[in-house]
Amino acid sequence: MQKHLLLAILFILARPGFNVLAEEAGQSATDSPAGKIEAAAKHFLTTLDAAQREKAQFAFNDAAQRKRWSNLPVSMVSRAGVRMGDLNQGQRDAVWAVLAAALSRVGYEKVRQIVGADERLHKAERDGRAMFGMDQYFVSFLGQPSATEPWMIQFGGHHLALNITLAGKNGTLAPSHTAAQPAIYEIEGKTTRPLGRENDKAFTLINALSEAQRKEAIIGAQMRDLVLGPGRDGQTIQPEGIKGAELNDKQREMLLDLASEWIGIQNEAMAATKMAEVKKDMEQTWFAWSGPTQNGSAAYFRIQGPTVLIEYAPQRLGGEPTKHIHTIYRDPTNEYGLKWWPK
Amino acid sequence: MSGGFERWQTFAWLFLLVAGTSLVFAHRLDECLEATLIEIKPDEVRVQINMNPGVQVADAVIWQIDRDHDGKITRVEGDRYAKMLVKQLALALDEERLKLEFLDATFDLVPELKDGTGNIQVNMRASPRHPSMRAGDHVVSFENHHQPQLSVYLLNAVLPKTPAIRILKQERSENQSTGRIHFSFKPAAHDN
Repeated sequence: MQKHLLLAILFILARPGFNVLAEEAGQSATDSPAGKIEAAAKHFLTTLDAAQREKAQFAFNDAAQRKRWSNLPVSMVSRAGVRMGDLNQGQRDAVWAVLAAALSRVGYEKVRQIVGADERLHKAERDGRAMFGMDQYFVSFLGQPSATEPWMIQFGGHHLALNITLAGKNGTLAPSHTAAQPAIYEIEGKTTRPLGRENDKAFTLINALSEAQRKEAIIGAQMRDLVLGPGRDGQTIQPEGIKGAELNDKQREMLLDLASEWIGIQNEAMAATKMAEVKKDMEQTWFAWSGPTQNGSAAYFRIQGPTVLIEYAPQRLGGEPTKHIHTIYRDPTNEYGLKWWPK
Repeated sequence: MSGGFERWQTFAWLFLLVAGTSLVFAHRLDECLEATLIEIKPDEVRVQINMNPGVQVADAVIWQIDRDHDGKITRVEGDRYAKMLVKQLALALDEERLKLEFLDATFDLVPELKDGTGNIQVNMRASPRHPSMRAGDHVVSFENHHQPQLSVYLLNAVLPKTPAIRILKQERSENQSTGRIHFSFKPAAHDN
């Protein structure tokens, strides 16, 4: 009986969204978002054996691990940490619980859908190579899970790199990479578009501009890839397109709402702080576009402000570009939470 | 510029590699991304090119670099290739053609380049004949003629680090192999 009770408690702790249950129960140790993330991370570590724990944990100042992320499959660019395919179901659930605590509900869903798309690629693999799929994602922590001190969660693999730096009540996703291929697929009869809202909001915005504004926003050249994608840490480019100051209030709201598709991946409390920061700078935030303006077309766009850079780039690599999307989210002032690092 | 024979050989490589490989998955395979950043400073222009050859064209690119084909890129081989690349670029400030000076280059390991995951970075700089640029509007023009049969391009101005330089407009050709950066220069009061 006691064993069953223990298992039931572990199940509740391990399931995604347990933080909500914990909050409802008024557990003081996990009241703050940072506390919930810390608790979920520490719980995950308790599910690992010593060898797995060693693989999962890195020093906070491990610069090589911090930058070990990519858009490419893990068979092409190796990752470090614990591989999902090497975990049992309980351990995997514990990983998802960490992400459920660290991310918003919509952010968590997006991540599951990106991994789901990769699982579709895995099912289409014919040559026995394991390049794609849920097993090929890695999780690691840099530093010790803490509700007060800086540490970092990395979760990623093909088409996904979440670099979540946490420092007390502060948190950032910068830099993080989200992508999808296929960018539209069906699961149990339901159409899934991991990056669908980003796409639709962007097309709505470009079509909400006047002809003169659209002319300013559109870059007259093909954008074949992300400019500041993986491997481009520390680079800064001149903003282009139309400046927020030249948008009306409604258009600025739409631009902010579009940016929220990336900022809002993080848990709601931390995202709210970042949204307020970006909102404050909306007049200095630029929106650039390349490609047709009819939804359903392949178009590149960029949002760039003092503390945010977002790019969305359909990939013209032989297949249908609207079904293979790469995106990047950066904060030129606080990549990897640099401003919260111990001095 | 590379000679006609070298260009023909590169074409031959590309044909054989593309014809012999099926599309397993859609990442950059049969093209080389050349992403150029141009940083305009009051006394010089810095150019950085990051090249990512796709897996199907990597051998054609490596063939131009690893001249003894031993699977390693030596400093001499790397510098030789980078200097050849520099000759295939053109840079101008207003009406003055600027001579690009090779600074340094880094090459990921050959296996990484062959996998289509490697990066080649070449850094260059150029200074105008008269180091004190006049205040007012100027244009930097850039052309990249390196391996056009293999490459796709990105061309961007770096956000200036000094308020004396303000980027006004960027114009690019459709494929971004060439472009013009319009900027204004307003020296600080004590520089006048």
